[in-house]
Amino acid sequence: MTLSRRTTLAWLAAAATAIPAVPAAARADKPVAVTALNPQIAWPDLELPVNAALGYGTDPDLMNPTAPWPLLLSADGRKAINILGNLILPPDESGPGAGDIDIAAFVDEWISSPYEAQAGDRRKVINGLAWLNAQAGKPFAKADAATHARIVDALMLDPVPDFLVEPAGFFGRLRGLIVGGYFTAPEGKAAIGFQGNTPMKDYPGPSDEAVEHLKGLLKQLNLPYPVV
Amino acid sequence: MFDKAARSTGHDVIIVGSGAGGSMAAYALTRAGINVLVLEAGRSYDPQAEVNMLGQEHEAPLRATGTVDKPFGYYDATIDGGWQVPGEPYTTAKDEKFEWWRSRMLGGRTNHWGRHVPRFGPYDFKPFSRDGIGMDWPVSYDEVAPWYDRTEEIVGLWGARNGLENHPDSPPGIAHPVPKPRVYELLIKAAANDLGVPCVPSRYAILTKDKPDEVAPRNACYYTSPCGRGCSIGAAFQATTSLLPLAAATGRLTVVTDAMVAKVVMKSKNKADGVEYVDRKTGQRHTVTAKAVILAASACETSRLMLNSRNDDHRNGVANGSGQVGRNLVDTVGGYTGGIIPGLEGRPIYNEEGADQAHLYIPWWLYKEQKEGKLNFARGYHFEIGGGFRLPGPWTGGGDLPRANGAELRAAMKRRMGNRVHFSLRGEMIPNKDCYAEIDANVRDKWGIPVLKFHWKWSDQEINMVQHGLDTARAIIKRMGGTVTNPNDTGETNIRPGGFIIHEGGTARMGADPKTSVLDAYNRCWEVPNLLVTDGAMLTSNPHKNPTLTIMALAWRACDKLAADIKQGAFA
Repeated sequence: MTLSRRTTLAWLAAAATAIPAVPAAARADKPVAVTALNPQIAWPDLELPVNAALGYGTDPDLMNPTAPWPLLLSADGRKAINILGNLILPPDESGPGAGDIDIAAFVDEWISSPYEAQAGDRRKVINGLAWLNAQAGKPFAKADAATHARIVDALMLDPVPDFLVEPAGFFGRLRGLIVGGYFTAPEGKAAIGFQGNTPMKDYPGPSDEAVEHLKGLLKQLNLPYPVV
Repeated sequence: MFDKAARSTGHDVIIVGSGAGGSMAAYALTRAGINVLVLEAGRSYDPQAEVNMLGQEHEAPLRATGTVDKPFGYYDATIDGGWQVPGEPYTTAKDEKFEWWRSRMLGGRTNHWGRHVPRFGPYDFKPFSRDGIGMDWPVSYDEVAPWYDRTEEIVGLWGARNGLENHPDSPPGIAHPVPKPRVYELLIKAAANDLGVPCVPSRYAILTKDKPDEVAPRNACYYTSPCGRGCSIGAAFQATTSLLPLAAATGRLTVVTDAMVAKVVMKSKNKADGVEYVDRKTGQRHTVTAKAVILAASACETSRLMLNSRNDDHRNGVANGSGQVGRNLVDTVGGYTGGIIPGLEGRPIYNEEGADQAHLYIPWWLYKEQKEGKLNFARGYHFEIGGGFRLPGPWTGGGDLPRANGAELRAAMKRRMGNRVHFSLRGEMIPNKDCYAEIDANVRDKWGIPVLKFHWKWSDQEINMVQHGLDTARAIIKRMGGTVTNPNDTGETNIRPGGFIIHEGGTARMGADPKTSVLDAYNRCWEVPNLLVTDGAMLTSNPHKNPTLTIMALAWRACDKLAADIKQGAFA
């Protein structure tokens, strides 16, 4: 297999996780819903300045981790992301909302990163915030809750109308960042019920409850409980 | 601790590199009474001070995900390394791909490795005799077995007595108990066994009992930190918490770090005098001499050094009369299959971290079928299995991100947290004429040292093997009621690039015949007996069984012989 074919396959694999930028009609048989948003507001496609910041290098201090790069988002931009954070993951009995833990700080660090891997997300988020402001007719952070909900509802449509393909691509990626940032924070780990990062003398293996569940599953699959 | 000024003379042996092969050589020689100088290209490194064992994702930049600076994540042990090292390029032939992982640190890549330590078996040392392909080793399993025993005693490992064909167990009393299997491992075992595929307790260089020692005490695993960070408590083996401090305690070890060796200096046609190295901090060149020189700079660096050491007596590179230096380049064959198991969704959550590495694994099992010619590839593979409760990270997207918000999203993320399984295929690659490294006449590194150019092409042997692995893993996933996440892959598309598994070897192979091999049965260059190679370059073949344990066992064996020879006045 040639390099170009390998590279192509890698692109295809990467593209498979992204929301495809093709017209809605081509993506689904479902009818496209009518939204309350202004279809005349185009995707901004801003020219982003060159990010000349440096990374943390190949020998950073692992005991005192820091992200050395300057952050790019405005105060309003961060507020907007925290508002969206609380719409995507609102507070409930399991934990605080994503906005409540200032998920925007993580998103800002991520999209301000000097590494090539984050450049695509930077383009999406900075354009997306500009688009949100335009749709809201004012800084999104200063718009009312009904406006926020109306925009989010439209961006969550499946499929979205053609004029929302790029905004929905941005929003899908932002949701990934917010979800990933939240569930890797202490509050999110607690909310999802994760158990770990706890030194112990002996590893006890599965809990009784987990073993019972496994026994049930094996029975369903017509498999014996294995002897190790 | 290790940064001492190098004396230019007075060492019996110079060792180039402080990874698995170099640190074991230093340990074996110093305890045998030999004075040793170790030259390490990277900086000094102390895991006890530098490993952030319990650092969490949110405390590190980008949630500790990989970057070009730290490809395996922020907390990964590798220093000044990765797929690219700044100022130290390599090249690849047009339209070919080879990835070369390096690190620049004391202890080398032992600070970051999988730590899966199967022994090679009797078949593995005599592959040509068995199937007529490749070349036999000049040593047999029975000759190496005692060296495996003592290497395992000092390295420390967990393992069971599985009693499988061509998979030797440790003698009683050496291996520590294997941690209890996790739910997904038990499920994989049940499904695999039902299909006639074994799934047994694994062998890893991780302690599950304390290993007291006056100089280098090491503690049992505490079942939470990822081993790739390095292990400040010494549970997961690395040279910097064991072999190097133990060697230093003899008083016969000098280590110079930031010493990039450029070439072997010769005393006469068949005698090495020492090496020339570049001080990476000052750029100055120094020459050091000794009775013998051991190259353990990692397989490709070692062959680069030999090729760059050509002189009037050795026009193709030192000790390269056979033309085999840089040839026979192998990696381990890598493949991957993922599965989503609905039956594991929403299961009761418990602490499933365990010891980071797989507690069970799938060893190669089709020896009989292979012997009968029923398979379209000649050698074996194993699966390292994975799964467990994994937190969604910043790259969450696509099918992993439900199109819902609020309570529905929270519930879905929680339900799916433990539903994945992974099968990483690790297989034996057979050396072929298309895979080799040579000096690129047009490119030099920042020290002015000519760099390597890689050539790489998989053969049908490896592609057919990966296809077989895909079929097997898919059958196991299906038997668990799951769906395969990469159903369209084929052997050709699924096989990882060369070098990707970071098991390079073979570029200065051992053999029984000086015409077809570089090293004799004691890792000595046929043409220059006081020049040895104790890293993966010596691999005559590269069985699917991860090579580090064998590299260390043969390094010890070679150095035991070298120490005896030096004491008897050889190379004076």
